[in-house]
Amino acid sequence: MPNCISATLIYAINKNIVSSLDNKPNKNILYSLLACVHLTTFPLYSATPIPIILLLLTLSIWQAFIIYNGKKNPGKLVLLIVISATLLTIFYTYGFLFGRQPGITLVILMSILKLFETKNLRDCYIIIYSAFFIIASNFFHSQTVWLTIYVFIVVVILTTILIALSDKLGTLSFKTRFKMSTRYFVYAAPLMVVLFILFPRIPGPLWGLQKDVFSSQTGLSEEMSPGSFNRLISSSSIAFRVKFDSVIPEHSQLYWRGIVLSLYNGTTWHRADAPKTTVPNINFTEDHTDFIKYTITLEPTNLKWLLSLEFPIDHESQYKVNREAMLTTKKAVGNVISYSITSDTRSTNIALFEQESYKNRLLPVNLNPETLNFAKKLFIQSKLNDQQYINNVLQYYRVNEFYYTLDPDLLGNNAMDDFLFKTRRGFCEHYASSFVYLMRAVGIPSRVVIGYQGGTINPLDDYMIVRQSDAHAWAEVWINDVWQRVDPTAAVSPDRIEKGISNSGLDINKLPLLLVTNSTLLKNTAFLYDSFQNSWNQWVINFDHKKQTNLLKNLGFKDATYSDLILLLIISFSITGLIVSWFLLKQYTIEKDNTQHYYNIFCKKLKRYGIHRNFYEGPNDFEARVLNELLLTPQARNDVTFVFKAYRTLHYGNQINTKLTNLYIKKIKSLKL
Amino acid sequence: MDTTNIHKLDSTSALLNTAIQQISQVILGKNQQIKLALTCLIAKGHCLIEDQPGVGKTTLAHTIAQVMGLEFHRIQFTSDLLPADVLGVSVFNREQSKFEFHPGPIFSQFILADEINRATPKTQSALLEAMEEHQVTVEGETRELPSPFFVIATQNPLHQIGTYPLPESQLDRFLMRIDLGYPDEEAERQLLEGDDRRTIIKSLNPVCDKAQLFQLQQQAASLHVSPAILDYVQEILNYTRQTNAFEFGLSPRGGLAMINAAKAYAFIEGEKYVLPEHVQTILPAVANHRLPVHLESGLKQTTSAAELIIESTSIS
Repeated sequence: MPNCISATLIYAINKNIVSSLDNKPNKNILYSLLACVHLTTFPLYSATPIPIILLLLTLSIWQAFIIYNGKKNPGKLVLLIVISATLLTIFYTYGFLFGRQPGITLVILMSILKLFETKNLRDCYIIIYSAFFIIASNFFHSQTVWLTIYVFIVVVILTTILIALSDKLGTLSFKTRFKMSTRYFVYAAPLMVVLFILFPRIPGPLWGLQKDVFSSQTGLSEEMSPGSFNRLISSSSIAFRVKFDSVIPEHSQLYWRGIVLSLYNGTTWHRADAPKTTVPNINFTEDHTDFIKYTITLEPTNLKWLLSLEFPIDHESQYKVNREAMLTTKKAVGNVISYSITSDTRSTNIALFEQESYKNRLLPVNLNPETLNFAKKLFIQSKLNDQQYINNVLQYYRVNEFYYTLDPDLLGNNAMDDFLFKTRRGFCEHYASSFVYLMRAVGIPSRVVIGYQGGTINPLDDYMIVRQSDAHAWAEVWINDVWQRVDPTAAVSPDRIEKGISNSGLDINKLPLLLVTNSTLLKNTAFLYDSFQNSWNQWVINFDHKKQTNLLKNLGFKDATYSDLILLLIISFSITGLIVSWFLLKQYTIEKDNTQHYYNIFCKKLKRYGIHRNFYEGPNDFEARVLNELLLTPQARNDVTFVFKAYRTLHYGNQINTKLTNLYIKKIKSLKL
Repeated sequence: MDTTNIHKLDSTSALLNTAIQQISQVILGKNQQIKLALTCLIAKGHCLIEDQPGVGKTTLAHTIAQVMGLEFHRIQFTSDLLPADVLGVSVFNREQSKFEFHPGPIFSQFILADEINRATPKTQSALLEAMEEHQVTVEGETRELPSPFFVIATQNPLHQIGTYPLPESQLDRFLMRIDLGYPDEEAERQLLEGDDRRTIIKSLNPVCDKAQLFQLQQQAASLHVSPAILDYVQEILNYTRQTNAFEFGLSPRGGLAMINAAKAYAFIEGEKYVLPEHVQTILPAVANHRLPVHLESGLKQTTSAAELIIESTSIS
């Protein structure tokens, strides 16, 4: 689609845009404006509801039809009806006309509608300017490198059309226009950087940006049922990246806690209602040696839960740790965010309320009779000792032929009975689920925790990448007045926990290629790409108030206030502008001076052959005289003609042409008659 | 060789060449003067033709109007011509009992003001002001003149009886003064042999319309003038102001006239930018009537002001 649009565009702006000087746009400009609106909205398609896209396409096809047949635009009454229909569509799709998404949609549809009443160049300018606005609004939805590159390219194309609009005589070729536009873009780049660095940032998320309900990411969900991890395991996309400020813990200790699930209905684990108390159940140690400090850059999840190691004790003020020691945020994470935390690996818990204890012992009634019987027997065998019982359950997984696999057999109504005694094939959710079930069967409070386990260090930049395929589920058991983590998967597949998912003996065809490949080239490329992506996240997307302040502090501006920032911005902006224009001016004068300088040399050379340029003689007259009076070989004749022609173009024309200048200088230096 | 940047404005220059060729069918052997007259039209200036009666001044004006597709009007200036005869007059309409404006011959796109120096200064200045302002104010009401608006005025040599010479300040309002002169032998022979000029003029087809002419004027105005050309023009202006040869130098309007005329001439030549030669070519037509030669300067009668200027100014 964008290829098709670009082709139309290049075809269109290759031709002259304005047919005559009465300021009437011709077919080509109308086509290119139509293409422009689509080029700018293209990345937004995926986030636009279908009725709007249909309307957009209908209007565009209608307009293209009008342009193609050279028909008259519809009358005022028809336009009024179309506009009302457009407004109604937007209103019914979004429920209101104002706000970010409906607002952008309104601008897009109105720019298409503007084409229906485009009579003169001024209307064309309006469409181009709104296209500039629309292209910038793409950043509301995504801020990836690729989108940024796309936006830059579209900006250059839009500028090309602007140049074409102003080039009323059509004297410039498409190539020249495009080159000019690219050059302007390059000149503007330093100003863009200055603005980016110095424009005052507001602490907190930008404009309360929130992800739209339509978009969906691969990632953890707030419930867990058999098979819910399969989709995650086959995805190599990044869940989050971690930069450790202290020693990196061992792989087997990297349990990134996400969501705690305490309610089970026989098939699915859910979150329980929020506990009444909001005081986190954490009792941290005074000994700071075991604290882990790290910064997580989290990809959008659309959830209100953040990830952390056990247990977060120090974090940024806009986040909270709840009773279940989950790190939470007020708004769902719709953009890449970065946060720093400290976790205490040896922290303990304070107490368990009766209500919590009860909630974590609940089981669905009348299900899994065999499992309940088995649990009771095993508990009696363990002499009613909780710790002994846990060990025995883990031992049960170990000695019986349980398989760690991504293709578990389907389970019936009594899922636990089927799994523990018949199929014995399962993935982490099966083990965690059955383990918690066995614990609750004998009244030990326990719960399922889902999150991620492990991670890969990127050797290039020394940070850790955690992918969706590292998603994991495990259990937490209340024992000895502490929530103790127990991972039954480790009993079945110790390699999963110690070496990671790619070495866990799973069917490698089910895992992302990136994780199981032996090609070092592929791995290194992936690391390189990820380093780049990480730097982008750190330095562009997450360049917030804090980073700005730090950067300024490093530059020697301590405690810069907003007014300082604006002053600094204006100064830097002016300096950058001056440098750019000085550079341009210098380049221009050097070329102009050079041209004249070498023309003088050329005239001196000719003087040696007996022909002297009169001071009042212009290049045309002098050329005619030289060709007339000197006896020249055809080659020399060509050279002389070329030099005169080039001199006229360079000295009296209005373009800087480095290629021609170099050739001109070369010809003069090597001139022999 | 990079040809993309130097490509010429082919279609427009072809159009103008056709026009020149058509006009030269009527006015024989005066190609350069025809080109200059067209330059004047393209540069949106007005033109003064000074010569003996009967050398084809009127015919030239008539032909240009016909070929360029302009509405043509001729005003014969006489000593009893009044401003109202040129501009128009308000007459009382009895039926509607109000004044009605009857536009004069000046409300036309192309005007030939024949023998302008035979009218009184009052009438002359009425015309010249209208030329400058592109509008006419009669009885307190301002009326726009049609566009394009082009005046060719003819003038008899000053020493003839019954003439009021145009003052210098008025001369400055003409972009160019063109001398036609007698035709050469060959051209004269052809003229004597050939058909009646009037029939030839009627047989000519216009090469462009009003909109196209407007476009040509715009294109010419947007031609590039390099700093080198500006330097050259300024040097010319400085020379005319410093030398003893002239009573006074060229005015800033004269400088602008030079640039505009050079642009239009370069445009007719099919160039994308102005060269020093273009300035030199239009200089006699643009400068000679603006520069009164100092009587005691010792300047030879045969050398014109423009020639003196060109030979004293260097091109860098």
